[in-house]
Amino acid sequence: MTPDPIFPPAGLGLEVPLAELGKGLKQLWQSSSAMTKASLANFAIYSERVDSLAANTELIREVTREHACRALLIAADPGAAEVSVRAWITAHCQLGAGGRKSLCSEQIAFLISGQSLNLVPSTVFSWLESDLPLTFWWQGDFSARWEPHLYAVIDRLVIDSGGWTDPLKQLALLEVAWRHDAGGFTVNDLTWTRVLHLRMAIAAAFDEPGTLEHLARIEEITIEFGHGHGLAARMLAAWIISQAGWTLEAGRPAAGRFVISQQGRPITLTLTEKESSRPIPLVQFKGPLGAVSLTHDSSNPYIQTLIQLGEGALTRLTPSPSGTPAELVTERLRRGCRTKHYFALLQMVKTLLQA
Amino acid sequence: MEAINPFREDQAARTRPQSCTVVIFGASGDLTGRKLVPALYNIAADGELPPTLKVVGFARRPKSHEGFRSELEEMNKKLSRQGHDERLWASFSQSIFYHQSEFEDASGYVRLAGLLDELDAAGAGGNRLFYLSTSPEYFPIVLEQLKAAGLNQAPAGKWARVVIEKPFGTDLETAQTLNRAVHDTFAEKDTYRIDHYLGKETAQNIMVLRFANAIFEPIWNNRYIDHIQITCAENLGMEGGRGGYYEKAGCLRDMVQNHLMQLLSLVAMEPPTDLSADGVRDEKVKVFRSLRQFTDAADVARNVVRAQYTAGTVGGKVAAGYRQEDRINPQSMTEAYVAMKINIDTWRWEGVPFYLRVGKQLPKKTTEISVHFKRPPHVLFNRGTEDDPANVLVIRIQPDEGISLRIASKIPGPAVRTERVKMDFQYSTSFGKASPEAYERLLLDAMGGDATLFARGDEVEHAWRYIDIIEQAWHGASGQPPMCEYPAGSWGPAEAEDLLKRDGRDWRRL
Repeated sequence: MTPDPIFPPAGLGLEVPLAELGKGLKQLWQSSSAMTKASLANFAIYSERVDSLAANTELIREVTREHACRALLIAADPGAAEVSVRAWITAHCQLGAGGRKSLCSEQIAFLISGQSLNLVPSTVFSWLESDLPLTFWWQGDFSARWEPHLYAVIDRLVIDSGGWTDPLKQLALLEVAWRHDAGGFTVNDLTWTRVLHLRMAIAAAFDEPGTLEHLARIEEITIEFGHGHGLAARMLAAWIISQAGWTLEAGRPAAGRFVISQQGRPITLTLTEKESSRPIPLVQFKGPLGAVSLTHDSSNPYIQTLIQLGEGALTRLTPSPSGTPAELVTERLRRGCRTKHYFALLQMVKTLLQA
Repeated sequence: MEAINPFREDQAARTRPQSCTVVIFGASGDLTGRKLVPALYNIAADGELPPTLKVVGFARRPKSHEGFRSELEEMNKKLSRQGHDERLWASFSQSIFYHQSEFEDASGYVRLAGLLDELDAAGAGGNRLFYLSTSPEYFPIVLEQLKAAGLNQAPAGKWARVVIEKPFGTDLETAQTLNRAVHDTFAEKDTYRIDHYLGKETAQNIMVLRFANAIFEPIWNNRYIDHIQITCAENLGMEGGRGGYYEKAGCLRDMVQNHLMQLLSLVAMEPPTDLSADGVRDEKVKVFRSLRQFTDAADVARNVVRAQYTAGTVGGKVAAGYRQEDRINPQSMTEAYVAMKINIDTWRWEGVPFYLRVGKQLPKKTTEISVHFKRPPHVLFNRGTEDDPANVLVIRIQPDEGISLRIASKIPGPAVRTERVKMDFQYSTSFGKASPEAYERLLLDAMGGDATLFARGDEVEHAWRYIDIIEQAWHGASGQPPMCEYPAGSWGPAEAEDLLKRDGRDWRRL
């Protein structure tokens, strides 16, 4: 893919020859005494779409409001005939506490053309801030450039498995790399983050009196998901089954229906695609005592939990951000990682995908 | 055995609030609208508030539930940390109720019990958190009435807790009397004495700094530390009618006995065996027990400076002297400034003085702890100059929360000259996420049953025992130390400077 005629887009900043990148960065900071450089991490975004630089620059602008970092944007064009690297530098500034100082995170954007496999590690990783961890967001499907020299330097890998064309194949590639690197990097899947607030709402729902008794007698679980969020729904289902200590039975009675075993007692799990702008508009736990329903309407910024057990009903609101990529990454970077737990869940997700 | 919610993945790291009814005594006071309700709202905005939680405001003025909610809504719009969402407020405010009664009126508590039973029947669940936000003279009265109405006794399997605002007594005797009144009504494990300084992120970070970083604890002792300073400066005087309370309390009781003593204990304590409430508080009590007591008025005079501000300028504005302030006795002998030298008799701190200073109408508002390390044993650089090469670690409590370390660095150039430079960590630039208000954390902990950030009865009494000796010297029959003076807008009286100068030290320039 070759850059379109309006490349580079506004916002990328000043183009600097690769050999003068260090000098360019120095001049960037010397140009204003009111700017304070802030950095807690290296944050790289890799995409094999040349037009990704504009969108990712906007994304970094949002993420740096909370997570000061050295941002490295990489747009790779592996199909280009000639090997070349172009670079641009800019800074994303926010007002500090009390509006007094401008706190800035620097961004280096690279357009890397050509097929050489080690172009990314050799070019980009010389521009990491030393001692600071590297968060690396691989956008899209893994390619031949997903190789040991690259992932050996990553501390935190960000992916969005919901956008993969073949999740089973991609998950296998990811797991091989993770095991090859002996767990050297942690995995932050934005599809998993997308259901974070729903998981929190489910956890909060089962804090309420009477709900654990209900959980012990549940007969039916329904998860509705919006278009393109089938994997997120399966991850959520796998999490519920795993946390509750249930097991997923082999085979399924009908499309989108599964059987869970609670120490031999069957529970029906139904996964249904619905027209919705939300990834998971409904999760419902039904049993003889009543129902616990979590709904996420497109117009409501809160997940609404309705607990109807016996007489009366109880509602609870759990905040849930709109789920833009910048919000998801920002949320994800606030939290620790449980990669072993994630891979353990994936085994069940694979079963749910294959069935 | 209690059933465990299997969907809770993070139970170890966080306190979960349990469903309860929070009864705020003195609900028409400033604290409810400015701090407590916005704190509860923000907990709700974070999705942490149990949906069955109820709030009951208990105060003397007649008001309807709706009138009370409207007042609180106006305050919340102005003061909520996360803004004000109409939809969330509509849901949250339905859990707020108002109960009108005199604090001494037994029938008011009987009616309160009826209201609480109604709320329990509507799903509140039976747990109760009584928050005493009244004037301190009403604390024993409210406690007595709660007991008389049987409200101190929780139903089986439920709890009843009490949160008590400062000041907890005015001296050792009154603190002991209040502790007895509390213990007559509630068990110590159900008693939460608030010191909002402990709810601040930076105060909580003192233990993290010391015990989660391997590089500090080995040098956190008298082999490497020369002395420690704790400063709490305010650039306000007696505005807003606060003179009435302050004139009775004074700086020593208002600030030193609680906030500064708590900070001192966090800096000086030994590592606790665990992070349980008593694990941490046992170690803090050991610090209080190790404070070297002043022997007589002369000893107090040598080590403690009290002062009042005279007319001056603060922040470009003319400021009246303390004795000319609203609601202040023109012959007042109440201190508006204290500087003191404290010794702790332990192996770790033998020979390391802790200098505390706190006062009103100082040049700026700041609270910080500075740890001054000993000078390098053999100074190779800058010989023959008066430069101070000692390292200083500063923990800024407020504002600009953070930590800085002063180190020496070579000045670029052919000559080997060094200069002091600062390595600086700031919460605001490192973590974009705003810190929760101290009251949010403290209310969450009280609802979750974690008393770590609250003072225990013996802690408070030990602190008062130390402070009482100073008060007695100041107000005793003979040998009273002088009341010093400083112009408003200065950093305190000359006598406070002398307190350090005679030890060959200076206050840190702020």
